[in-house]
Order: sequence, then C-alpha cells, then structure tokens
Amino acid sequence: MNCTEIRPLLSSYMDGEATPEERTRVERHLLRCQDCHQALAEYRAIGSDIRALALPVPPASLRRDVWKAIEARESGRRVFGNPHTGTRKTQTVSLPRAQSRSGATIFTNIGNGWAKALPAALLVGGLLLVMSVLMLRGTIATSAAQLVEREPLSDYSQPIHVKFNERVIREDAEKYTYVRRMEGTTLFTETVIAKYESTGNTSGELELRPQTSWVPGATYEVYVACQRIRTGVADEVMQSDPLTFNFSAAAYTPTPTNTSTSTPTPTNTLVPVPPSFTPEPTAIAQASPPAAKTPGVPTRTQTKPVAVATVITTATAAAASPSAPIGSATVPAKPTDIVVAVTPTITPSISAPTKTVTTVTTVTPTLTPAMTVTATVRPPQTATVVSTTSTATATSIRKGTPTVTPIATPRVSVTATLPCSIIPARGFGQVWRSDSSVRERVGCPAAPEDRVTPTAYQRFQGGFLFWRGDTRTIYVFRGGSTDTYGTWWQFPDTWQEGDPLPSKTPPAKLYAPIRGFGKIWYNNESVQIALGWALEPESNTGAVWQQYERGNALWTADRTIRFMYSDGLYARFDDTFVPGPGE
Amino acid sequence: MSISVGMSVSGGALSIDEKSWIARAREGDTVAFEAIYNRYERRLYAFVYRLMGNSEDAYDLTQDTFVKAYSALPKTAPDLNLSAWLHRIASNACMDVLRRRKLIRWLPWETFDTNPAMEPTASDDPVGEYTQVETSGEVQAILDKLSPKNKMSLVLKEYQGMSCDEIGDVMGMSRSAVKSLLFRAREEFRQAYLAHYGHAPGAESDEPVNRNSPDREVGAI
Repeated sequence: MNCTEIRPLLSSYMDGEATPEERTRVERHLLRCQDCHQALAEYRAIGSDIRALALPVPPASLRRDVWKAIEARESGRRVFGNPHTGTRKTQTVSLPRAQSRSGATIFTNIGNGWAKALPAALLVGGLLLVMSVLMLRGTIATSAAQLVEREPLSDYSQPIHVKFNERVIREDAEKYTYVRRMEGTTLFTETVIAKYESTGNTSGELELRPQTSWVPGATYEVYVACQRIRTGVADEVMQSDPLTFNFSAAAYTPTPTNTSTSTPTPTNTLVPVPPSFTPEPTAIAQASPPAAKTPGVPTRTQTKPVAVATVITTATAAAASPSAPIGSATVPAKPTDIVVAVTPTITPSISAPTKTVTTVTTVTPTLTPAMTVTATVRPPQTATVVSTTSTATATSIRKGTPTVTPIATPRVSVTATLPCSIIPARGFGQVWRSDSSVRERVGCPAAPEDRVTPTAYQRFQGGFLFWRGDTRTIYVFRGGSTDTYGTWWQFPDTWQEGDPLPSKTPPAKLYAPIRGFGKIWYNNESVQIALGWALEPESNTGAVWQQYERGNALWTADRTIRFMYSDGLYARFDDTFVPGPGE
Repeated sequence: MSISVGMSVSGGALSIDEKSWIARAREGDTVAFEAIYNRYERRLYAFVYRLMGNSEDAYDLTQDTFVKAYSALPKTAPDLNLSAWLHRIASNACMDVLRRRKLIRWLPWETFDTNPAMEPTASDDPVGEYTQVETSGEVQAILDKLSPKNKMSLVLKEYQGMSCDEIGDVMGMSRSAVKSLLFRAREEFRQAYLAHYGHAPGAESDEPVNRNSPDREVGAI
C-alpha cells in the first residue's frame, strides 16, 4: 500500500466515512508513514481553519427585502395569472388574527395567496420607529409616536412609554404596538402588558410593561404598526415616521424573575410556562416593582406580526397546556421518569380519562391487554405511542387513570415514535422529560450532547461567565446560583494573548476578571453592572453542552443544569441524574 | 429503566416540527415559512458568504434563495429534505454567479492575488461590533482560490458540518463521489495554502485557541 493509494482514504478516514477495512489499512499505514501522518494533520487543520471562520450575521434588512421580493413576485404573478390558483383554494392559512382581519389595509390590493398574509410588520406601511435611548434626546419630537423614556433605563423591570401625538383608538394602540428584541436579525416579540391612556384631546400614552424583565444589553424595537392604528378623529390610519429604540444596559437592578409558581417539578404536570408568555395579571404583580399601576390590566389577546413565528408557536403551546386533559405514561418504578404526556384514546374498553388523578393499585394481574394509544405529545409535537406488552407487576402507579377501575394495571412498555430524532439523555434528558415547560421552550435537541473543552468558568457576585474554547464564545449568566431563573447572553471571545486590559482594583476578597473575561467585562458596562466583581479566579470546569432547536443546555461541574432559552432566559436545575451501571 | 424508546430515523435530522412547518408552508402558511426562514437565514447566509467571499453577494444570493424557495416549495415532494434543498438552491445560485464571473473576467482566479473580500473592512464587517478578529482572512482567501466545486464541498463539510450523504443531496452526487471530491478539495486547499504562504496549513502556531488538531485516532494507535 503506497501513499498515493492511501491519501484518498485518509480523507474519508478523517470524516469517519471509511469502511472498517479501509480504516485498518489507513491506520497500519499511518504507523509507519510520517508523510501521511502529516497529511492527515493538515487535513484536520484545514477543517479547523474553516470551522474557525467567523459566522457572518446577515444585515437586518435582509429579512425585509426577502419578503418584499416575495410580495413583488406574488403580486406580479397575479397580473399574469396565478399558477397556483387551483391548489390554493383549499389552503388553510393560519394567520395571526391581525392579518386575517379584513381591514388589513396593506393587502387589499393583492388578493388571495401567500402574499396576502405577508408580515405586515416587515412590509409597506409599517412604522418602524428607530431611536436610541442614548441618542434620543429630543430628536424625533415631530413623530406621531415617540418614546417617553429619555434617560438610560435603570430598572429592567420598568415599563416604557410611547407617547402618541395624535388621539388614537385605544384598542388599536394596545394591540398593534409590539416590543421586539433583536438577536442578530431575528426578532423575538416580547410579551408585554400594554395599556393606553388618553392624555388629552390630541394625545395619549401607551405603557408597555415587560412581563418579566427586559434583557440587559439587549436591543429592543418598539414597533408601532401605524397603518393599523386608526386615529380617534376619523377612521384614518395614523401617519408617522419610523422609530426603534435600544435598551442600553446602562444600569441594571433586576430580580431575575423568581417565579415561585413555576419551580420546576419533576412530575408530569404541565408547569405553567414561567415568564414572558401568556399575559396573566398575576405575572404583572411579580414583574412590576414600580407601584403606580392598576392591577386589573385587561388580559388582551396580543396579535403578533407574522415575523415572530417562534413566539407564536410557543405561545400556542403554552396556552394549550394548563387545562388540557393529560394522561401520562408513567414508568412503574419511578414516577418521576415520565416519557410522554399523552391524551390517550385507549381501545378497547377503557375510556379516556377526563382529568389527571393518581391512583396506586396493587393487583396481581392476569390480563395481557393490548392497547393502542394515540398520543398527542405536548410538547413538542404529535407522536404515536403504541404501547404493547402488559405483563404487569404487582404495584404500579399510573397517572391519568381511566374512569374504569383497572382490573389489571398494566406495566406499560411504551414504544414511542418520539417527535425528536435525538432524545436528550442523562441529566439533560431527566429534566427535559420531566419538565414540560423546558420541552416546550427548547424543543428537540439539534445535536447530541457533547463535552466542551476547553472551558473557563468564573463566578461573580451577580452570576457567572462561561467560556467555550471550541467556539470561542463567552456566555454571561446573570442570576444567583440558587435562582430558578436568570438571563443569559453571549459575546464572541476576541481576546488575544497580550491584549492590554485596563485594570480596576477589586475590593478585598474579590477579583477583577482577566483575559477574555476581562475584555468582555471591561468593555461592556452592562456586564460589569450585571455581574459585579468576581468571587474567585477563573477556573476550568467540566462542561457538557447540547444545542436545541430553541436554545441550549449547559451542564457545569457543580452539577447544575441550565436550559438556555433562545429568548435570553435560562432555567436552572440541580442535576439529580444518577448514572446506571454502564452509563 | 423499562422504557424502550424507538426513535424515528426516517427523517434524519429533521424534527417533526420542521416537517409540519414544511407541510404548512406548502399550504401557504406564511407563519410556517417565516419559521423556516428564521431557522435557515443565518445558516444559508453564512454558507453563501463563504462561497462568495463577500457580504454583497451573500446578501443578494441569500435573498434569491429564499424567494426561489418560497415559490418552489409547493411543488416539492412530501419527503423533502429541507436543509439539503435550500442549500442546493443557494449553491446553484452561487455557481451561476461564479461561472459567469469567471467567463467575464477571462482571467484565471489564481491571478487575483488580492481579493478584497479577504480583508474585511470596517464597513464590511460580517459579525458586527464584536468581530472575531479574522486571523482567518487568509483561510477565506485560500478558499476563494479553489475551484467552485471543491470549495463548495469543503464549506459544506467543514463549515456547515454536513455528512457526505447530505453533501451528496446538495450537490447531486453519490456518497462515494463526494468522498473523492472532498479528498481533491483538501489536496487543492493544501497546495494552494502552501503555494501562497510557504507553509502547510496548521504548521504555524500563531493560531487562536481552537485548533483541535491532536487526533484521537492517531494518538490511540
């Protein structure tokens, strides 16, 4: 075997694409061929080099331009006849309510089809108010809508206010003003409590209160959909210039939303989604330190622009959770180890449960029932669960016991076609399975879990910093070490050995961060304010990471699991996973 | 644990979530298309950026990709592999442009020693305020010297993290063809690197932290 023959195999060997036989050949050859050994190292280096290329972020305007182009194309088509007319008659367009209203002025000329439902937020007449709180002072006084807050905000739970210089229809103003957090180019619509009050014949003020708190350092956009907002004088839409605003993390006095109601319980009860979703008056009380607020803010159905599909999805799931009848497939041995929440249709002879009850039955069953359960897993999606064997054990606990007292309590061995192609394992899996709000919010894993090396970790007064050496990313976690919830955000690590850093002298027994952490900390006031001083020098920590559809999970060596939701919140859990033999 | 969990393998990395989005988007549900857009915007933009080497092309071609995808989606097969499909649209768009340019310039790529794209200026800063200092401008420069096909296979493999099967789906090739293509691409990269910088890739350790080169397999022998 010479090098010419081996080289092509080296490449597939590196990719894990070589057959076992090829693999053996390659390895044998590598033992004695320094050149090929070197070539392999170079192939790998090429891979690392390419992977290390920065991830460019598309400009925010791309999204808008895409939709514009699609709309132009769609409307152009209509002129010449729509090739899809036949198929589209039966379409079920699930639109946010705002778009399906007939009064969607923007779309009236377009007719049927996809374009009709294009996100109003990103199209024609939307009023995109762009202003920075810091740069703001008096610059957009002429606008029909403007922000009232002019100083850098000092309280991340505080409401912000939009002043309308025209008298507008209250309901419209509340309904069609959105607060969106920009993460790169992705916009997340925040659930806010909006309340409009008329302040005179020609003006009014809209208060926008975060359901939990604003994310420090984040950029928000207040989007006033002027085309939708009719003025109080006539049935005309409001006219104004665009505007957006930034939340600078100038000062931060947060309480990371310690929602006691949503302490993650390891049962299958669907825990109400903690922050930021369904606007409940109770949540208002938790989230609002400033007093001057009437408690009975009407729960309103917030309409959302199409742009924020993520939020819509989650909100739907959340809304569905509390009252839905839930049955549970429970493992006999460990009641906490629940795999799927099901709404069972059990055939034969057992009627579906109407409420969740727990019974403990001790029987010596003789039956071997075969059941087919069609399960609606919430979340994430629909699955078909076929439960098969039922040679029962003596004691078993079932939730969602049917109205029929079971003669045999079957030991249900669930063969589930689960909705995720990757199932979280070990500690992550335990939390993910047992906590439905986690499942709802992060969705399925996007990759298997992976140990991260190298890492760095440093605890601070207000949270901690975590560095992933493999992606050179620094994560800021704001929240007490025992808090159930907190916030997180991230920075690329741009520090190079030898970079000069300012130095601040920490108080006794505290530390100032150095190196990459130091660079982030010194350069970002928001981080300094959020975290305070370090409690200890930075250290390595064992860490396991798993990427999900809508977030990440991080395990750190202090046996803590954090599910980092893509909306900037994280939920913390103690890792109670005990590896079984062989794990 | 007495539960056996059978996983659906048929969808590969696709979740049911994504499948339902596709289905809904096909029916004209723009919320679903928006969800697809959200999921793939960055990924495709980054892909196109690396193929084209500059943000202008990346912008235009990513836009084209989504617009094409939007109108073509209703005509796709039910078992669509969305990721591969979107990448295919994007790579076709890129290939067209690259080929056209090559014709127009009628000079071989190799003669362009200075590619403006490899020295990002402040105004062409792909990652914004917190730019990772691109010690890797040189890597992009080398990529830009490769033949389009070779470049594409390497970017799909190493940057987009695809398997040979997935790359085959994107590029319309068999798995074994992809394997040899990757080999040729790596060799071309290696030669181009050597010719340009006078040393092999990875030979100099002026690199930031993330070279994970010590190879498990070799070390274990």
